[in-house]
Amino acid sequence: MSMSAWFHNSSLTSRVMLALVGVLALAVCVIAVLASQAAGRQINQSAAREADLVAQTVSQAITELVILGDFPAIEQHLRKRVTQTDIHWLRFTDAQGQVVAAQSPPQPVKHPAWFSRLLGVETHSAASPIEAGGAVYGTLSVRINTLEAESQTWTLAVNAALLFTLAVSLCAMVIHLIVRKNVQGLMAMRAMAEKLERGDFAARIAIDTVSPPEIRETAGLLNYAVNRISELMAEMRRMAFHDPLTGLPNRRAIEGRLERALRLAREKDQTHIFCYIDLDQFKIVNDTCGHAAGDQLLAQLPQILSPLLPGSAYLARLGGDEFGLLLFDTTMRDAEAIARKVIDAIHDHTFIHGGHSYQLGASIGMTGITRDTQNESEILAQADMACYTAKEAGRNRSHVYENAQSGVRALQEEMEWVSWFNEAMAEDRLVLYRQRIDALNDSSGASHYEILLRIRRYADVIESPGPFLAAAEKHGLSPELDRYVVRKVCQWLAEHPHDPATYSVNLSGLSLSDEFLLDCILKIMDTYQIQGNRLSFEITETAAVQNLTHARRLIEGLKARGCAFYLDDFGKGMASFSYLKQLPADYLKIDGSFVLEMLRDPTDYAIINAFNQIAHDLSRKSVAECVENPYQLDKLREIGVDYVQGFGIHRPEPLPDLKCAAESIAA
Amino acid sequence: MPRLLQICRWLCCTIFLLPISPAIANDYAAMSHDKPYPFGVLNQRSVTLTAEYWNPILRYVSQKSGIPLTLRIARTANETTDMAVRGELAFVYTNHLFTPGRDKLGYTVLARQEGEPIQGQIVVATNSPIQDLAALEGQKVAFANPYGFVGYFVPMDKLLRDKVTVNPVFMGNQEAAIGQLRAGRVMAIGVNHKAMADFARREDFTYRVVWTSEPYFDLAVMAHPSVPAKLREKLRDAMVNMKSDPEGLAALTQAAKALELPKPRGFVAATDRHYDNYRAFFRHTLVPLDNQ
Repeated sequence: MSMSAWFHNSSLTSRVMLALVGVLALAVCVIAVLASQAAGRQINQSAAREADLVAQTVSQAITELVILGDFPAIEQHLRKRVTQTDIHWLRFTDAQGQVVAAQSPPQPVKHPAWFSRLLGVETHSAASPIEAGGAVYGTLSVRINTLEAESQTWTLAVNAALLFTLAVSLCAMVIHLIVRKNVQGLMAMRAMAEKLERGDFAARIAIDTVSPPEIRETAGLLNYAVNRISELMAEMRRMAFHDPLTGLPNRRAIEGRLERALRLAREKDQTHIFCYIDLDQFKIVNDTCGHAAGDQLLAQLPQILSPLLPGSAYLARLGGDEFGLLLFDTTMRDAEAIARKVIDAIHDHTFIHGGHSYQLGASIGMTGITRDTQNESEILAQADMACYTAKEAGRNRSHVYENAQSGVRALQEEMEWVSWFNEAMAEDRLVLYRQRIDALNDSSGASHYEILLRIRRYADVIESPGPFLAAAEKHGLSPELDRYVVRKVCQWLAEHPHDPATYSVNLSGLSLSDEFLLDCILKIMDTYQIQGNRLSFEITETAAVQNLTHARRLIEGLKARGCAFYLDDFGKGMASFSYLKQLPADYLKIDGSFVLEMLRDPTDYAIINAFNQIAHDLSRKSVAECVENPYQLDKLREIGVDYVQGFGIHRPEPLPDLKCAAESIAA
Repeated sequence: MPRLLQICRWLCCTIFLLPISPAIANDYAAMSHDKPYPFGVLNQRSVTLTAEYWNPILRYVSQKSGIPLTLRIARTANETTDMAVRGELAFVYTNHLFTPGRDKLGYTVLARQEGEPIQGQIVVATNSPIQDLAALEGQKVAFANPYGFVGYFVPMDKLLRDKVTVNPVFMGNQEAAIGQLRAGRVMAIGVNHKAMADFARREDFTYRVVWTSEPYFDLAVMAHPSVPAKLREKLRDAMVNMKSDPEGLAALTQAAKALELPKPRGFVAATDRHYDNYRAFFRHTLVPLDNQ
């Protein structure tokens, strides 16, 4: 690892310690060099003084011997003196040049040569003449040995270095403790950041009183920020897993609970029950009273249901008017009892809005969660299918999912139709037929046709669209299908501009709630330049009632363009005169079930008569469907019905000259 | 007759000196040209002080006389005398060569230092009960050393002649012996009268002289018999005229300063005759000379 990389990765404590120890080391090195030079100067000065002093004292000491000319005694004296450690050698040279000298024995050098160079020690010699009464007898020379002083200085330096090392170590320890204490706050911040990274938002910095004020303040601010983030995250979590309208857990939340229930079922062999609650008639409240009222009703439900549920029950809103109820560790019998209470409570609840009271119902699909259950999606799908079965069975009831139930098979078939729908749209496998509607009392000769849909799943096989249309309606595909048919009819009309008949197209209930449908139809008509009197539309009474507001707007919009409107299947649903009054339809199509039995059942005859009368009273034309024979035709003429339609009048036929599928059928 | 005796003396000296003459001759043969003549000085003070006193004098004399001189001095007075006896010295300043045995060596007197003659004394403390020499019988008497003439031989000879038996102690030098008296450790001392007077004056010490000898001239500058007469005369002239020569006086002043003398001392001419009383003393002294 390079130095820079090491420094980059080193901690704050290491950096501070490195800097301080480096500065200390540098300072001590400078001091050591200066001290060495000072010591060297001291040694030089001492040696110089020593040399002079030794020269003088020795010369004085040997003066008498010199005067006596006692050279052996002089040599002995010099030898004795050089045993002193600081004298390298002594030399006496008499006037005649005779030399007597003594040298100290070699001394072991205890220090390295570079140290002597660092000290800057010089050679120190001195000479002193020996004279008496003006007569010079000779000269005494001396050289001072500084090795001992250098060695002592070296020993001192080594000891100082050891002391310095010890001092630096102690200093480093103290600095480490101080810095560590000071950066403890930073370490606490780092620890908290790591915990936050792991998702532990309960982590907080313990603010000590030892750390510097700026670190304490920063720690306090960070704690405050984390508190706020935790609060916001809790709020986000609550929003992510709760429905803001009802305050109940949402679909995502209950999916997590389902996962947990599934795990418990596998681990502890428990059985849990999941209930899929779907409100009946909620759409009526929503459409007639507005979404605000619908929301108000939904918001009341938790208060209605919560008292009925055990403590371990988990109630959630899945979306729209659908709720999920998870009952932990219970039996299907107990769950059915609870479901019954829920149904009754919802049914007994009266919602009052705008001076009107509304009663709802609920259908509940139930399924067990056992160790054999595959996954959460399967739980939801089973409960949904069971709920559908309950609705099909007449609403306001619960149904327990069974693997082999017929409802499930039907649903599976529906799903097949749904999957085939896209294929049919892409490959143009939908075929348009027409069935004429004859006028009984109109001599104008104007003809009317109803556009009927047929499907061709297999080559040369035309099938009734019943199951297909039901699946499309249930799974939200009807609007797309309706637009397809409108576009095809308009295209055909554009290709047959001289055809005098009026063609009516059926619109599904879901299309009525499609706020873009009106614009879409008008745009198609504009595209093919279709006059409004060539096109009319049919909507069922039930669909119109359930989407009253949208239906009215759609009818009025298309009537403004000159299109006529049929209220289809009248009498099959509510047959509410109040709604009829609000719907500006031109034709009232009496449901065919009455026509089929009118010859045998006087009630049906009376109903047809009443419906016909109401239509006329409301300035609408009446149309009787499913007319199959002349007897029915006579009776209808007798009643005064304006138009008739049925196999007895005209069998449906492919739309002439219709391209694509129609041509292949004709072939 | 005296003339005959003198001749006989000379003959004896000649016969005595014959065996050592080659050595002396060798010495001077070596010294005559290149090496200076050794000038011995009897140890009266430390070697260094002696050198500091005599070196200025010898340097002047050498320069003035043309005779190169070098100071020779031994550790002790006896050793210096031995050097003279062995013929190693051309000149010597001494009074040790007047004993019968050394007188035969033939050294002759050339000059002496000016000043009063010296006397030997036996002194006691002022308050001492000793009134005469007889009272010293059996007492401890201090001397400088057993070689000093007026400091030992003369007073001891007196005591022996008076048959006063004392317990002699030797203290190394005159002032040490005086110190013993002052301290009361000895009853009396034998001492050079000049040294005694100088000490008393300097140290404010009072004493009482019990006995004083006849006067003797101080040490003499003597020449070895082998030194040519011409050189002797040159040396004598240089020394005698030294005080009258400014250079010589400066040298004498420098020498006197070394000994802290109040005034420089010059030299006067002297002969053997001036030291006959030495020879007479040694011929008749009762103090054993140990073949000196």
